[in-house]
This record gives sequence, C-alpha cells and structure tokens, in this order.
Amino acid sequence: MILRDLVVQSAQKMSDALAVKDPDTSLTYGELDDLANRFAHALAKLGVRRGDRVGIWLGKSAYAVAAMQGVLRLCAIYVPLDPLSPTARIRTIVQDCDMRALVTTQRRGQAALTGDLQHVACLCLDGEGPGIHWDDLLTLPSTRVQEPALADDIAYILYTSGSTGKPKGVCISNRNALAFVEWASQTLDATTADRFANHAPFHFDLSVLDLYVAFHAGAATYLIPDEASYIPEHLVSFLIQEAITMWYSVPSVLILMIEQGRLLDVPSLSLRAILFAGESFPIKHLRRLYQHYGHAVHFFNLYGPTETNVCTYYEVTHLPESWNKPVPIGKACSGDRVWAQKEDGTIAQAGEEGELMVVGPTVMVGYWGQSAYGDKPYATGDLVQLQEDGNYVYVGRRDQMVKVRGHRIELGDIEAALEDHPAIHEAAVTVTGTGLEARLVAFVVPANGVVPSLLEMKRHCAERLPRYMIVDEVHTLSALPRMRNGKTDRFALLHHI
Amino acid sequence: MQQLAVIEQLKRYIAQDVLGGKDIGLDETTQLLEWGVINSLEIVRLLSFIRKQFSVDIPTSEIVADSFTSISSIAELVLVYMPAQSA
Repeated sequence: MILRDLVVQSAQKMSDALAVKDPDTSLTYGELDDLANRFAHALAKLGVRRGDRVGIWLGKSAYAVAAMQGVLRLCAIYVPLDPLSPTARIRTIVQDCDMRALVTTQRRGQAALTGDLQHVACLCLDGEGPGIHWDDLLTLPSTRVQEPALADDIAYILYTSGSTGKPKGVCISNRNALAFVEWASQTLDATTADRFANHAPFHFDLSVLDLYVAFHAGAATYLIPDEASYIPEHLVSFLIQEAITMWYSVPSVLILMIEQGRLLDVPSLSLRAILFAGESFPIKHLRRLYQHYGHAVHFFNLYGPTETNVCTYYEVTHLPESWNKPVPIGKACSGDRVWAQKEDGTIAQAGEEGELMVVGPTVMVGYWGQSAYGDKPYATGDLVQLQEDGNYVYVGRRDQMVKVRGHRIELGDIEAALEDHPAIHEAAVTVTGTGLEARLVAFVVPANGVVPSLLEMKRHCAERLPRYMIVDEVHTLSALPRMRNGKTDRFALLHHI
Repeated sequence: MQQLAVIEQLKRYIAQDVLGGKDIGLDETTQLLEWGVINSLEIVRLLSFIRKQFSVDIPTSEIVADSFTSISSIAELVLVYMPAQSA
C-alpha cells in the first residue's frame, strides 16, 4: 500500500461520500478520484514523469488537494508551497529541487517562472493562453492513472527554514507517511462518520493528519482557508456548523478560540478529539479547555519535527491542580523508537536530560540534494527529560531554532536575509514572549550609520522570507554583544530592548 | 464620516500600535499583508480597533486577504459597514 491508495480505496468503497470541502467547493471521494486522474493526465502531458518534483502553489482549496493526489498517481513527488511566501523564496525552492512543473495561478506562475526557470512547466488553474488550464483539465479523461510506485519512493517534500538562509527540503516517503497515518487512524479510532478540520496549511506537516487520516477512514476533511485561520469567532462557528469531530492545530489557535472566540461558552460540540502540536500548550489555558471538555473529548499532545513526523504522543487523561508545567510529549509512537542521549553519549535514565533521538519508519528519507539519511538515528535538537513513568518532557532547544506559533524558524535564516540589505552590516534576531505574544526582534548594526526604517526592513524581509519570519521590531546597535568564543551573546541582546 | 478621516485614523493606529510609532513612509497604498506589516494575528487586533473606533463589525465573510491589502482597502470595507447616520 502507498499513500495515493487511501483516496483510491475510499473512492471504490464509498464514491458518494464527502471527501474534502472548502468554502467554495465540495468533492466526494468519486469526484476527488476523477479530478486526481485528470490532474495526472494534465501533468503527464506537461512532461511530468516518475520521481519528478511538482510544486503546488495555491491557496488552500479542495482543488489543491486533488492536484496533490494527481501528482502521486504519476509516482511523482509533490511539493506544497506556502501560499503566502514571496516569489523569491518560491524560486529558491523551485531551483533547489529542480522542479519539473508548478501548479499555480497565472499571475503567480508568470512572476515565479522567469529567467533561468522558464523551462519549468506551469499548470495554471485560472487564465487562458498557451499551456494547460482549468478548462482543459476538465476535457481530459478521468481514467485511472497509476504509475507503479514503491513504498520507499518519495511522496512529498516539505520545505523548512534552514540555518544558513536557504530552505531545506525534507523528503517523506510513502512508508514514512503511512507509518504515521496508520498509527493515528488506529489511535483516534477514525471512522467514516468523522469530520476532520484542517487548520494547518499544506506545507506544514500537521496537515498530513487532517488529510490522510481522513482519507484512510473514508471520512471528510473540512479546509479552513488561510486568511480565516486566526479569526477566533470564525473558527468557533466553523466548529459548530461543520460539526467537526477531530480538531488538530497549534495551541495558539486553541487559546485564541478560548480567549476571543468564546469556545468555552458553546454548550455542546461534536468533538471527539482535540490534538495539538508544534509548541508547548501553556498549562493555564489547557486546564480551562480540559476542565470544560475533558469528560467528552480525547486530548492528545503530538510531538515530532518535520523530519520524523509524529514520533511521540501523550494522551491527557487527568490534569491535577499540582501540575504546573506543560504536559509531557509522552512516549514513542508510529512504530518509532526514541531515547534521550546525554552529552557524554550515554542514554538518559529516569530524571535525567538529553537530546531526543528517533529511529523508525517515520524518519525521513533525507534532505533533498543530500545523501540519504539511512537508518541513522535522527537527532531532533530538542532537549527532553525522562520522567519516572517513562514519558518525556520537553525542556528546550540545543541550537538557534525557535518556534513562533508552531512555525519552525532558524534565526540564522532571518539574519541572513537582513544582512542582505546594503545598509546593514550585521544582524542578530531573537524571540521575545511565547505563544500568541511571541515577537521576532532584530538587532542590526548599520553599515554606514544610516538605519533603514522598520517598514523598509519588513518589506526587505517580505521579499525573501515567508510571512511568519518577518521581523516585528528592529533595534539599532553600534556592535553586536559577543561571548568569549566570538558567538553573538543572545542573552545580552535582550538588555537592549 | 469621510473616507479621508477613516484612512487617517487607520494610519495612525497602524503607525503607533503596529509599527511602534517611530516610522515614516506608511501611506494608504503600503502593502500591509505583502510586506508583513500586519499578519493574521494583527488582523484580529485591527478588527477590534475598528469595532471600538468606528462601531463597525466586519462580517467574517469579508475577512479575506483582499480586504486587508492596504489602508485604503480596509477603509473601503469600514465605510461599507459603517452605520448610516455616521457615514
């Protein structure tokens, strides 16, 4: 079995059941299956073959899901791209994975595929003129396309922030994805009656659960458009109207729904499970939510970097008043094995801390363009403590990677973008606050005394980085504080705020 | 209320509350979303400012990216939903 079979099998069993819905379009499994085949035919016409990379640069929609399934049918690799990313960043990714084709809109395609990228084929879902468009797509046959594929073939690539300013492509095989999907389907006991909410954008690995666990069960998934994803009243009314049974998001979004969307005033919800991941859930807010819904709803904390998908989980079954820190990330899942490795290389015992290491079926094939990862344990860079009961508790990071509302950010990535500005000699970036209050604060040393305005800095970042990496504040320094080893002293920076 | 007055108040709010007050160069055509001046969380704060300042409730169906591209597009939206007596 491979990833694409999930839709095919549900289409054969229940062609008329709803598969995916966005505010404009609903597709049954039969329709999704047909449309995926049409996308596959269209992409094949554009020259896409087995193993080719195909970017999907669209706002979140049922059609984007069909395009992803079309790519899989050719045994090609889909690359979901941040719909809010600037063109320059998209071009870097198109180049990095040597993309064969891009599924997007005409305006975006024309902006991105210029110069040395003119050879990349474009499937534009709007517009007209040369190339293949939506209207052409509908004239193509819907006969099943199923190029032979193997479990170890790469199914998709998710790009994450890289420490040197270049995004890294995490390659996930069919086997990797299915190990997680099968575990999650079983743990959640997902059925055809379930209704999944999809909050995360498709380039974010949380969306893998919303799409594929639903497809595995023959359930429906309801897409929340990008622009509505932080509007609390909208999210709460969506939960009620669509009678959502499975909710999965970063904790910030749930907190927003409690604080500003009156989530706790809703008398009854259809929810069966609330899952969260990507950052710690502040216990004060989790406790309110749990006290309100804990009797009827399962609560799961899922953990794992993009490179391993979900490798540990913790089900919250009680929250004693005495518990005043974030809930554990729990124990290994998805068939993986995890341990905490101490500085001296030995394995941490109960009460001790170390770096969380992962081996098993969900560990990525490797980064695109680098040698395969093999069976090596993946070092997460996350420091954890092993509790007496065998659960791991997240303690902190080993390096400069930070999380802002669940988005993983390498500070070096932002620093590289800032230093690309002619008026900036050097830059250091840090994060203040947590959860909804998290802010990216930059410290810059001007090259010749002239300091660009915050607006200018934001625009400069916006041309190079995804939205969630644009700095919120800029401070000017005559020099960056250094430690003895020459590294930037990030703690000293905070005194300058 | 005149469109210019709405634009002026939105501009003042964004300059002071979002950009920290020390900025120049913000005008009604500045690409707010495109340049990351406001993000999806800022939109939530902006909506509550609009509610307080202009007594205008923007319906959720209007909360799409196109409505927030610039100060003038936000002002247009505010004027559409402004109660008749103050418009």
